[in-house]
Amino acid sequence: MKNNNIGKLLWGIANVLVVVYALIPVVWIISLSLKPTADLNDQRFFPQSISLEHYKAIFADLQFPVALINSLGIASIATVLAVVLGTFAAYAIVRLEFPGRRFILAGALATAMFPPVAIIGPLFNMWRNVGLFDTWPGLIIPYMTFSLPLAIWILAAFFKEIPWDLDKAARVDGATPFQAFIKVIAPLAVPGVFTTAILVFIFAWNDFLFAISLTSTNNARTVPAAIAFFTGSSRFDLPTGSIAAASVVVTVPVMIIVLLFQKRIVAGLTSGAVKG
Amino acid sequence: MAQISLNNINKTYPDGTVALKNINISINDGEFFILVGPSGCGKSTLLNSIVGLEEISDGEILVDGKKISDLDPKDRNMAMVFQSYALYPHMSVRENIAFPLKIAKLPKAEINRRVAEAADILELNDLLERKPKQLSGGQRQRVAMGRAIVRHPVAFLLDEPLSNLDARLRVQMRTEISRLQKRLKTTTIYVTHDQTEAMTLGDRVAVMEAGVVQQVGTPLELYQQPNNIFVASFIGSPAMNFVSAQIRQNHLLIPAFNIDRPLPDKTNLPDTDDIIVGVRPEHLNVTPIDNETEFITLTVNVENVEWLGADSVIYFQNLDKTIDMMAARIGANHSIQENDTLVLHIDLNQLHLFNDSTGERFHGFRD
Repeated sequence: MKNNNIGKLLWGIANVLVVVYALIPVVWIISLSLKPTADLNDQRFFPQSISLEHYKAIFADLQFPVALINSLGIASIATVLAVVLGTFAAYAIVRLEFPGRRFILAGALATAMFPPVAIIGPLFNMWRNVGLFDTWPGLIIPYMTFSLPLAIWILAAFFKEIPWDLDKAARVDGATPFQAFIKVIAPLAVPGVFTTAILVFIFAWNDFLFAISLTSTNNARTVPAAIAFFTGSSRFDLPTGSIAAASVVVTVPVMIIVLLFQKRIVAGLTSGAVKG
Repeated sequence: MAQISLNNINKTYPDGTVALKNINISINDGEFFILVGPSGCGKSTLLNSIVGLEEISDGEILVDGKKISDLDPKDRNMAMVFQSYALYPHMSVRENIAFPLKIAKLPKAEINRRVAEAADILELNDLLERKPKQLSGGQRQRVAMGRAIVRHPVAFLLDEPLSNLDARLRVQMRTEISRLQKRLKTTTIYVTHDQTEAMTLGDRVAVMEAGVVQQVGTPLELYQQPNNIFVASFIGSPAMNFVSAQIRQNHLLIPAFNIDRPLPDKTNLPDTDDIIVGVRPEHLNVTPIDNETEFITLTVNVENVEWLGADSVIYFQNLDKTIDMMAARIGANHSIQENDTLVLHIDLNQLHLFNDSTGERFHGFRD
């Protein structure tokens, strides 16, 4: 009994340490974003007085709201495309017997290992030639491409967990292969789809490399790239406060999304399909 | 309602493995037909071929004379119950049962009527709004049956439907399935590896081994006149005992037990060393049945006694211990113990003779 309590206490301390360690940078950014400009270098962790001037400042300039819309649109479209394509590809790889399916899975993993920075130069030239430079599709395509391997691997793992008997049962019950997929398999893969969607979205949302290299104006510049172009109110002024405020604005929605969908990510939806 | 014919079914996998070989079976309308055999014998492959989940390499499947072997599974109108039940976990019991009807685009009123009818038959009325994970094993089994009967299919195909249940529930569900089949009179093909299920449920049984049908017959025929050593040893529990023997001038010689027994004149078998005698454990008796019956006697050494309540099984060897252990099923009221020497009596008519090298039944002895 006593041992048990000590164990609980130790676990509690460990948990607190990990959470504090993970959250300190976030709290620091929030604190910075709320300090008045004059206090930015006061070397205190918590602001002495709270001011929303940085938030007002970033939304006063058109650059940030436009970047926010770009980020939202580009990341969402890239996510939808990657998830839809990934779902079909993963289902085919798991359920269909065709030559080279192991090769496809291994190939997908291999492309994921390619450092994006190695292709950014050629991509820049190609995009300028075909007119995709500084456009939404110009970012959507690389985001989708680079997140597809991840999507295929995660979804393939989820599809493998769904008993094949369910496909067969649906087929015998009169469904076409497509109906079996849409009515039986896809609903069961929902947790996997959500997991994949969140990961792909975060990847596209946070990306800096493609965004800074393949955009030049507000046409398609996303938030991480836009933040790099922030300037202070004068030449001698560091834009620290505005950067902190912008970081909070782009981080908090993602955190909320993840927390909201956390429940949907829990597996176990398939329990009860077969003997369990 | 349908008569199903399997004509010359062959299935070979791309790697050359033969799964089914020259299957010819005709299943009557309304019959409860069992496919039984050890795992890997091809019985599930045959069932999947009938329903269309696996393609056959050769041969044809006819339902009421119409060829269906080229049809997609969805167009065969057969219902299948899987070993794992394969209930759709995201749907309630009602939605599970209604699924085949919804796919068939039946009117809503008709769907509701049929689901209610199936729920009545299977006593699922209180469970209709539950999800599969909230059900016990037996209830899931019934839902799977419900999904099968709701369509009024031409045939039910059941793939080891009871093997996930515990022993007591299995016996109960066995009775329920049997009653249900008699009530609905739908042609049923039932796959199992359990010979007890096969014997108790089936109107007729096909015993399979290595992709080949070894024998088709009523449970009684399989029990009394097994075609070969495989069927003889597969049907019946404990399994039939085998011991090698010889025929000399119409005498049956069993060297292990020093038996030299003249056979009835009408038998008239040729001399041979290539023979195996089989006898079921329940046909070995401690006391002779009566003086009229012709019997042979074995003097044996008891190795082990298993008391089962209603009766007991004695495991024994010959006195020299030169043969494998054999079993005898006798009454429970006895005082036989290990290492006792015992005399067992066998009615001559209960012996089965098989050809040792081919395993085939020796015709001309009792039949």
